[in-house]
Amino acid sequence: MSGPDEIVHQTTRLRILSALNALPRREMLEFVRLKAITGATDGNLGAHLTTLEKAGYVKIVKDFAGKKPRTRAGVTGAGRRAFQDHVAYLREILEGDGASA
Amino acid sequence: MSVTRDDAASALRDIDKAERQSLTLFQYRAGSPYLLLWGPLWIAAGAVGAISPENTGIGWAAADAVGLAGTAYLVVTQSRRFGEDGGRTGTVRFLGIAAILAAFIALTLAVFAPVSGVQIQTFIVLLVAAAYALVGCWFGLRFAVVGAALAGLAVGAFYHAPAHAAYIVPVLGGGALILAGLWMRWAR
Repeated sequence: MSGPDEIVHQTTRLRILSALNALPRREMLEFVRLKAITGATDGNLGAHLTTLEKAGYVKIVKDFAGKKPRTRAGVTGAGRRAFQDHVAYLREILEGDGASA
Repeated sequence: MSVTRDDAASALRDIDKAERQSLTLFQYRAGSPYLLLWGPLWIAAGAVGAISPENTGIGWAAADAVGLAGTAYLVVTQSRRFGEDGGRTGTVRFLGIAAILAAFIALTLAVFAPVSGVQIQTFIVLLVAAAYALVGCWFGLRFAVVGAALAGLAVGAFYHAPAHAAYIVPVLGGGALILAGLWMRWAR
């Protein structure tokens, strides 16, 4: 059994990656919608997105929708793989016999 | 870092919830352009019928032609954007669904003939309403609410204001589609 991905396992980052991984490829999610899904504050969500971006798991795009500034996030190929590996790891724990270090 | 069985179960529940929320929002965003396309067309066709009753058929034919062309465009572009096979499956499905619905409507109206223009209009609205309600069973409550609102408007106008249903239904129905389209587009 491979170990947990500490970047992915944190609750808010796990929710972010779950929401982004559920979308079709190349589709992105607006910051305000991610905020609603994760239940995080602006600052908290921004910090976790930066962590995921530095790890190469998400890409952030800042642009304008009409005249309104817009921030969107999408999962990268590395992010999808890391998320799927982590989900597999969590399932192994449930199917196995207890805690894993 | 130690992850217990309870931690793992809790994390998987979190994942499931976030995925469902994200997919629902995605379906709303993908569905809203169809409502924003058909809402104004429905109102425009109803207005043609109210202003010039002898041109009702031409108004609806023009609205349907524009609506079907716009729907085909949306289906193809969304299938290309989100589909895995360059949009072929989405396009074939759209053509299949359009053909089945056209045949179903034509054959049903033939069986129940003679039917009035208001009956035809109400029947088509109820069919669309049922489709939205069924879609809502899978993809989110807002689709079901749109279906229920459309059905209520159509049946209410048919029974309580039959003389005015020909233009009440398009105005209220088209307006409901536009509002629902905006409601879905802004969903969070």
